[in-house]
Order: sequence, then C-alpha cells, then structure tokens
Amino acid sequence: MIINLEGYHGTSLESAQSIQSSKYDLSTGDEEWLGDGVYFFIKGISSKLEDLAVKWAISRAWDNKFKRNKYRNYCVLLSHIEVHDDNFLDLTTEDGLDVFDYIIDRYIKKMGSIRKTVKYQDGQFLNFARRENIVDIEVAKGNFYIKFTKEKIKGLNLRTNNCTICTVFDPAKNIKSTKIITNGSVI
Amino acid sequence: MKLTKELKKRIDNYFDNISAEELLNITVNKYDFCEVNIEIENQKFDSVVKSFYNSKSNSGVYDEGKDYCDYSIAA
Repeated sequence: MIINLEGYHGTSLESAQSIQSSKYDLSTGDEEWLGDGVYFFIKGISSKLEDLAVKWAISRAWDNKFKRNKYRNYCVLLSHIEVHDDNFLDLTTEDGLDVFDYIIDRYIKKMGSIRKTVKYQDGQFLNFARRENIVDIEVAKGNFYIKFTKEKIKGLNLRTNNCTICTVFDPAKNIKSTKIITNGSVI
Repeated sequence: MKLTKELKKRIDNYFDNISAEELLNITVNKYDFCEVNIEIENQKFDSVVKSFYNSKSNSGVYDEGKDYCDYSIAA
C-alpha cells in the first residue's frame, strides 16, 4: 500500500527558490530527530502545519552568534510525499515502535555480551539501522517537541510533544512534487 | 512498517552475523554513538562507606501539630 503525505517545509526564500529549481538538501548531524533527511511538518498531533512551518522558518532565521537574522524573507514549501508502507517507519504507532524497539533490544544485548554501554539518540540509531541495511526505511515519522522562537526566548524545554514531523531520506525517490505556498518577512 | 516474521528474521540475521566488537566499532566510529566507560581501577576498593538504617531516625510523616516533619523509618 502507498502512503501519501503532505509535508510542509519552512525555509528562507533563497533556499526555497533553490529547492524548486533543483532539489532539497538533506539535514545531517547527530541532533536530527529522525536522522539525516529532509524534514517536514505533517498531519498528526497538530493540524496547523503551515503555521508550524512559518514558525520554524522564522526561528531558524535568527543567528544567535551574530545576534541578527540570516535571512529577511521566509517561504513555506508544500511537498507531496509517497512511500510504500513497508518502507515507512511510523514511530507514532505501536507497529513502528515494535520495529524500533526490537532493533534497539538486539543492539543492547549484543553490547551486553561484551559488557559495553553505549549512548545514542533516536536519529543516530535510525541512521545506523537504515545505512547498515538492517531495515529499508525511506520515510520516518514521529512526534517531537520542537523549540520555535518563543520556546527559545522563554527558555522552554518541555517534554510534551508539539508537532508531528517526518524525514525523507532520499528526496529524489519519495518527493513527487513541491510548490511554494507562503512567503513573508521574518521581521 | 510492521515487525513481520520476515523483517524480524532480517534484523536477527544482521545481529547474528556481526561480532559485538565490530558492531561497537561501526556504531561508535561511523554513527558517533558514545561509549560509556565506567571502569574501576584494579577492580577492588581500598575503602567503603557503610550505610545502615536506624530505626530511631525519622521518616516523612507530617504532624499538623508540629511545624516540622518527623522522619521515622520502619525497621
């Protein structure tokens, strides 16, 4: 069965134009929630997806080191994502968690056999599971607490999830169309 | 994605065919997992601190008639 997702991606106007003319760049790094990939707000615990993408684009504009905005204009892109359910890891469901937990259990037992304790984050573990071909994950979905401008300014760091996101590991394969739906000024 | 028999077998196959040392090496060096090293030198202690319960010590029972808490532990 094919899963269809409508993903909202907030970014700068310049990046949005680049994405439309060429392709998305993957977000990479240990701090990524679901591992390397292109991130989208999708329907889940929040239905205000365009608002979330705008808030994200505005919060990402601020460069805390230089105390100024990196860009003046933001954009929201709407992408249509298609993925087969066998390649879709949905961590908001019991089925998805069963898969994730099983791989983690096997890893922990293996490390236990040599008396090793290893720390990692969700995204790192997903990168490992996907790149080592343990499972064929093309798109992963999860509920997370994401800090936007208000959360950063007020120093909020709650555990209650505020949005549902997905990451697409191979945009060329799973993203079928993209269009700019909103633009505006950061300030 | 569901944990079907086939998927479980595939996951098992990966972990059954890799040594723990190799798996540690891959996850730490390739995916930046952080190895936690808690080693006790010589695996022995020169001294220990003895902890014990005292039945006459206090527990967290609050008495409204008092302006402090009693902490008696059942022993």
